[in-house]
Amino acid sequence: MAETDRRFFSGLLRIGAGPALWAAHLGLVYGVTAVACARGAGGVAAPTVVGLTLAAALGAGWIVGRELRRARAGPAGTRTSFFAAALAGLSLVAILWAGLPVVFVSACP
Amino acid sequence: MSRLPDPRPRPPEELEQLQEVWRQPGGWRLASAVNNTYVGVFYIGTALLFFVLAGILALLLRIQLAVPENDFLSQATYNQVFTMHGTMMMFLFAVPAVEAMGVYLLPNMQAARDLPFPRLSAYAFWAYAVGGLAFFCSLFFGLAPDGGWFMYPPLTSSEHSPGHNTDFWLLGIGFIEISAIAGAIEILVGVLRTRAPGMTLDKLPIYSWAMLVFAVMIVFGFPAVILGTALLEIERSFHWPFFIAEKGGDPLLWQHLFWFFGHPEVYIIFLPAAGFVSMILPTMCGTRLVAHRWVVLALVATGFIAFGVWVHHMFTTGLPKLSLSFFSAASMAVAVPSGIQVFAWIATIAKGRLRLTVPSLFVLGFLAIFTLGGLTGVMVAMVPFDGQTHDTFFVVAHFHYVLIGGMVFPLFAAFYYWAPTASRRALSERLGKWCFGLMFVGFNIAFFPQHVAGLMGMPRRVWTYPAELGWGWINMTSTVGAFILGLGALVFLIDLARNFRPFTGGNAGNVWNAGTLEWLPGGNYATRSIPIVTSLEPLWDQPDLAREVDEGRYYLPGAPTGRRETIVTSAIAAEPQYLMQMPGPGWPAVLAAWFTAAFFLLLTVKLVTPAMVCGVIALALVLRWMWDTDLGPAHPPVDIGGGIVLPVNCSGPMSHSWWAVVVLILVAGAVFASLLFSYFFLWTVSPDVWPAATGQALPGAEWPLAAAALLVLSSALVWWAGRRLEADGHWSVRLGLAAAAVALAAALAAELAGQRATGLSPTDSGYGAVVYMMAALQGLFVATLGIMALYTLARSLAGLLHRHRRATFDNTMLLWHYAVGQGLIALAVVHFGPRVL
Repeated sequence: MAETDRRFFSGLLRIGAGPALWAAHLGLVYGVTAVACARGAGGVAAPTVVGLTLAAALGAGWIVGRELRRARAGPAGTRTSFFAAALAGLSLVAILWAGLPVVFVSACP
Repeated sequence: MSRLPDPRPRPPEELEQLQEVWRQPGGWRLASAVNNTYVGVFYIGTALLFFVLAGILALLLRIQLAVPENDFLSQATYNQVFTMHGTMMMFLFAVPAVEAMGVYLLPNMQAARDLPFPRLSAYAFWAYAVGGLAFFCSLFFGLAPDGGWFMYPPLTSSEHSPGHNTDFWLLGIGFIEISAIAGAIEILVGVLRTRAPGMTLDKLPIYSWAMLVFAVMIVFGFPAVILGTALLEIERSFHWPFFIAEKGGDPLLWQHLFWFFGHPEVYIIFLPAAGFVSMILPTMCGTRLVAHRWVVLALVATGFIAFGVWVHHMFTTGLPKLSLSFFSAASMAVAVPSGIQVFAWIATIAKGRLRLTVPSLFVLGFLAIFTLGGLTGVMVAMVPFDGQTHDTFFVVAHFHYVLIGGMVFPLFAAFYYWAPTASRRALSERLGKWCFGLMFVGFNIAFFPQHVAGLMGMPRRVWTYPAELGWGWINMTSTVGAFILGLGALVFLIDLARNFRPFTGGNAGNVWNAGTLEWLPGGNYATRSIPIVTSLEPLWDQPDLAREVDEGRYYLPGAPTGRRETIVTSAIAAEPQYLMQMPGPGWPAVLAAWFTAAFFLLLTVKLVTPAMVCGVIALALVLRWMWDTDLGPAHPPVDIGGGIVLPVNCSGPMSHSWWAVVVLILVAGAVFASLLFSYFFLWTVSPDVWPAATGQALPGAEWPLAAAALLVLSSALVWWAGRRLEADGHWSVRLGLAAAAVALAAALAAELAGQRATGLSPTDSGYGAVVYMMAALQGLFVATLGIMALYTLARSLAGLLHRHRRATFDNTMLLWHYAVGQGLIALAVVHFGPRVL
């Protein structure tokens, strides 16, 4: 694989990291809640969702920090850092936003 | 790269050769054209035809609803007409229309001579055109689908919908999805690999970005509905109970699979439209787009978040409250990136001076209507509000505001804006203003009152209603509005008939003073030479560019290999990598599409033998078409100007065909992921039919172990054959491939034998059905790879396969390793799953 293609794929991974974390979080909290409610173990759902949300939010926050540091370090790849940091920032908001209902809403019907 | 790669005068015969190589066939042979400027225009025209047909169906619906207790349409006909209206607008108009615009515009905008797989575009177009028309004709025989455009079981199960109507939808739409995926692969590889030199990602037009995200969304979104339609058709034909609750299936599985496609679908058609707006506004305002970076970011973010909102279509299905809240949150979050774009457009208008042309008017209409639709979207994203308005006309009003506002208005803006690139004359400003006025006023009169009807309790899909409910005046208003909207569309058709003159070899030129490359002068060959791009709006920044390009001062001013060619560039920096030779007009891809359509349609009415004959003919034609690909280094390296010497054609990870196979593998992976979801979903809702509850015996460990060993062996043999190909050990390659195919088939046989030995049948339960479905999907790969292996062997025996000409082998190998990986995961899930869960 040519060097330029390698840069393409590594850039793709960095830019996609935040949204991938968001997707994994949404999939997991949905899956955990669905299975817990279906098996009459609704009590498990809320604490797991809280834990998953905090973990995912920390991860997204870490990506934002790392990309901002990279952007400050030098002009090469600043554009990739901008996209990676901005998307991870948006993912962070979306993760917290999706996790927030656990405070207000009981898990199962 | 210097500013002008080749300042010398060009030899006079060079242009003649270029024109000769790109000459289009005349008369009836025009149907064999594969060039994007031709296929693109056919494609757009056909999508417009379906828009008109589905629009006429909408008018029939509105006549029926205009007065209470009307009997203009019978209930059964009404059901077919509203199902066809929705299905055609989404599958036969919206997606193909934006894909068609991409096929037409992208190469011109990126100064490539064509997209990388012209025959694939032609195939996608013809399969869609022929199949779509036949699908529409099912209405005249009372055979049209009648279960709503989202075809929910159990209404659509064989028990409650025994006729062929539902099969028309499942099979008809099935192959239109395949056509959409073919187009998406074309567009994805096209945007990434066929750009003008110097057009780095930060100089990529916004529209190309939008189409890139669009194509990625199709790659991940459409597989879910492809799997869903396959499962429902298999349930209807062979009684595998995926969606039958009494047997441990679940109708909600369909809703998950459908909406995992269905909601991203809305953004799939909106993002290209947003791309149009971001191209048109800067031209009409005479200024650059404000916050270009943020608009790109918004496109990418929308592409992701759109996949996290599908459950908002299922708020009233009794899912856990907390689950609903997650998706409610995501549904509100997706408004953020759309908001970023709307503010960027408003700021662009504020920064420049907006000329009130027809495209501008349509863009302004879009901003107003789409924003209103977005606001009602946030309303229905709230679970309690949705509970009140679900399945009422409020939702009908909401999605028409989003879809007509968000897609149809920008599309009409795009028609008026880009028509001068295809036609000798621009469309009429006077007629265009009438068209816009009628459409804008008609639209709002038709759809705004439907919010009120919904809040008054009028449900969707009712064929009539009693007078005492008091919905009569609202519906009459709506109907009058719909006809005004229809009149607007009619004015557009009159404008087209009077002024649109494509295929004349000339065009109206850069009438708007736009800055992007599709406005360069050119012919069938696209532009005379391929410029170096140094900014986002090259025509604004380099006033002499059009003249210099047309004089052949830039790259590839002729056809040095004597065939059609374009430059393939690297994905980020757009550095020229190699010269790709491209096909000219030809029948195999076109005929293959016709026979593919025939295969699916005949299968619908259970004419199995003729369907199989058509299927075999289609396959043979595809192989015939493939035979002319993988040309190898057919020509010595070529100087494209400026001292850049490029190899001709290429194999390995740098080649465009390798990238296309990687995208195809992503599609296959998404289908498989949807099936894995189905497996775990059915386990979640119906553990009572799982072996732990029923005592169903599981196959002994020897079966899956044998299958896994055979899979690994098969991959190893292909890997070894690839090594031997490097040394031109032809007989080793042939034997290796043949043995690998046998091992792959034997692995499937071992899995099936193991399951059958336990007495499990796919018709027993949801569990049996999904276990055998895993094997069936693997079977599809065994059959496909078997054909690919035979084809590769045939090429080897014909002397067309050697170490410098090995793209055919590499592509087969890539898909092979994927199939083995998928097979191993399937074995692990099917055999560990019931032991652990």
